[in-house]
Amino acid sequence: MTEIRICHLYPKEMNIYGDRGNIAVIQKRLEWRGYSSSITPISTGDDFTPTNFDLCYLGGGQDRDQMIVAYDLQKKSAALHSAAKDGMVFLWVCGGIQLAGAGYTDSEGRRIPGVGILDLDTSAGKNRLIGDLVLEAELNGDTCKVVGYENHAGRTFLGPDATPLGSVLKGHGNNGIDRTEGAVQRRAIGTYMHGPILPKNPWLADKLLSWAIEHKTGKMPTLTPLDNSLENLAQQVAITRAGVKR
Amino acid sequence: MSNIALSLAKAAGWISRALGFGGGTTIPGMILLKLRPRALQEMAQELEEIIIISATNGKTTTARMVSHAAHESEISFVANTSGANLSSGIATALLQRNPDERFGIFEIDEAALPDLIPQIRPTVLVLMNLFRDQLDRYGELETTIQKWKEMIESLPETTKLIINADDPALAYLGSLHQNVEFLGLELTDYGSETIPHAADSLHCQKCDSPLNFKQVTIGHLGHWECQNCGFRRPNPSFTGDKINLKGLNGSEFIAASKKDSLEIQIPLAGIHNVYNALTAYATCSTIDISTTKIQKGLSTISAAFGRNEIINFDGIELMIMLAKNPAGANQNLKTLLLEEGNMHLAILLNDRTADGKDVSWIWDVDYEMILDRISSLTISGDRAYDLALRFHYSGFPATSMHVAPSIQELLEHLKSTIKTDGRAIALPTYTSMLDLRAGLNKIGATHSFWEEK
Repeated sequence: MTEIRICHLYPKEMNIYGDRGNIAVIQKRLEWRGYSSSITPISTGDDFTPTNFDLCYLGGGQDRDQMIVAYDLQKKSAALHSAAKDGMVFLWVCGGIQLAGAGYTDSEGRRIPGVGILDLDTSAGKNRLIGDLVLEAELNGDTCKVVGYENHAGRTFLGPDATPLGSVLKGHGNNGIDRTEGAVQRRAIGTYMHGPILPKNPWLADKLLSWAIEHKTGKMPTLTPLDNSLENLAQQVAITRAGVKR
Repeated sequence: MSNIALSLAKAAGWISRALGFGGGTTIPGMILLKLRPRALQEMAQELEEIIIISATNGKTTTARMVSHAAHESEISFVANTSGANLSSGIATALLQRNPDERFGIFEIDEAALPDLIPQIRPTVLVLMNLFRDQLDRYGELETTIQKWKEMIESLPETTKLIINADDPALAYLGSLHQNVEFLGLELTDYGSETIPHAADSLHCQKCDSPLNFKQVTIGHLGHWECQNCGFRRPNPSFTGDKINLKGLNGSEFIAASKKDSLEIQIPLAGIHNVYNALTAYATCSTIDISTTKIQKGLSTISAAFGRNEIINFDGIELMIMLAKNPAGANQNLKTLLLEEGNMHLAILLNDRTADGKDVSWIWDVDYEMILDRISSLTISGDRAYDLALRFHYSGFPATSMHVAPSIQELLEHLKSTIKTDGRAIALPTYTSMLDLRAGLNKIGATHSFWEEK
């Protein structure tokens, strides 16, 4: 059985928006298709070895914890860059997308460094952008609606090397101005969307899985279709409650 | 004070109830504060002793316990017992106060607390715990901690602070005030050495280093010490020891202070209610209520609405356990595990303002601990399908859960599943608890919450 190796970065510090739901979805959707998986938590002080993993997850945390994590992440920067270049899959959510970029300038002008695997930069806005978030997302030419929730003070703007994950149908997205949300660069995805993002958006989950399987096996798999009826119902309800017509 | 403002506001409560808009537990106060913004200060000044209780979890039940003991002690007091815990609810309670009521016992929302403290000026301020809760509404836990810190730094020395030493962040806040008493639970078999997934305050407030825990009771509450600077759980002057949890039937423990020690029995389940009762004991003891009155007050307490409240309908005993955030929900699940056998479970998830519009938090609840004890699972509420996914991805078979789109269908499904003389447990969020009670009320099984005092 092929084993997909998942690295969960800073699960103790960065976990405030139900992040482990994303991990559960990745694991279960692999398992239901006959793949096994391993989850390795990597915390402050631990080494990150790029060749050990196929998918790397980083979630959202409180400002205080994000600061602690940001400095530790600097020590892993070279390894993360090498992994990204090698096609490892990244899903970095909320605080994660900010850490994936060049850095974060907080409300007092202090600069918190990022690792720069996504071409974007973030600075704090006056108010928090909070509420339902609905996107028309696009990956590899496929489009799909993606729904969740956002709650962030950061305003993120993409550079030329990153493309948005989607355009905002409802909510604020990266910065509340340009209607973009998230960022994609090679197989690294950053997003402000939690809820968590993957349970209600199996389309996105399956994209990540197939990339991770390709990273492991060298071959893009044809994924066995799963019964997504509960996922689709939950997505429909969330989109409707966000006030977007399907 | 202007009689017109008072009369208008009082009439509004009556009109609200008469028109069926709800209890009028907040509307009169809301109108009064619009007409007269300083009304809270003016009305609170007339009280001799003001006790304010705040926390993420347990404030309603604890305030109810203190009120009960005060009642036993024949203290005449005003309180906001219906859980209306923002400025409007406190103003409504004060507006409806009898002039002979010299004490005030209020439970206040943790986010509303910093603005209300300078207006109400409590003589005793009781802070129980802070857990992650409705991040879309309250923001990050650290933000609340910072606001509470500023609040405590501007407290007059005369205000007595009662603090749960088991909460590391609160213990730090307590250390900033001279006039403080701590409370805490002694080591107990119900504690654990492992920190649950949804734990929050795990870093030292003084130096940011990780905390070591010798025991965890709920979330991040327990016996803790900083690895780096040595800042540690203060020695409490009120302690709870020899805890015995008797399943859903209740709990008992020994409460002790420098003055006395007494056995406390409460008909409420779970270690969270032991914290609530210990906090009530510390508070009552501080305002000189005698131990016998405290004992009696606590042993005869009934559940606050929706908190371990039992409602019977059509031969089914339905226990409602409010579950509105990860720490509270986990605590309810742990309490259910104390019972023998399998259970019929109903979980209700709404995403309205009072619930938090972000439903991510259900993924931080450790539902996994009860999966093999569920004989039937019924799911309802505005966001029922999010819950269904939560269970689906925990490996619970989709064929074993039933999604009931309305309260009526939920109750009918429970009836047909359980047949007669069975028991079911409902874990609702706040507004779905109100919906559930309204549904039960419709079939004649309960009374309206504003009738409670």
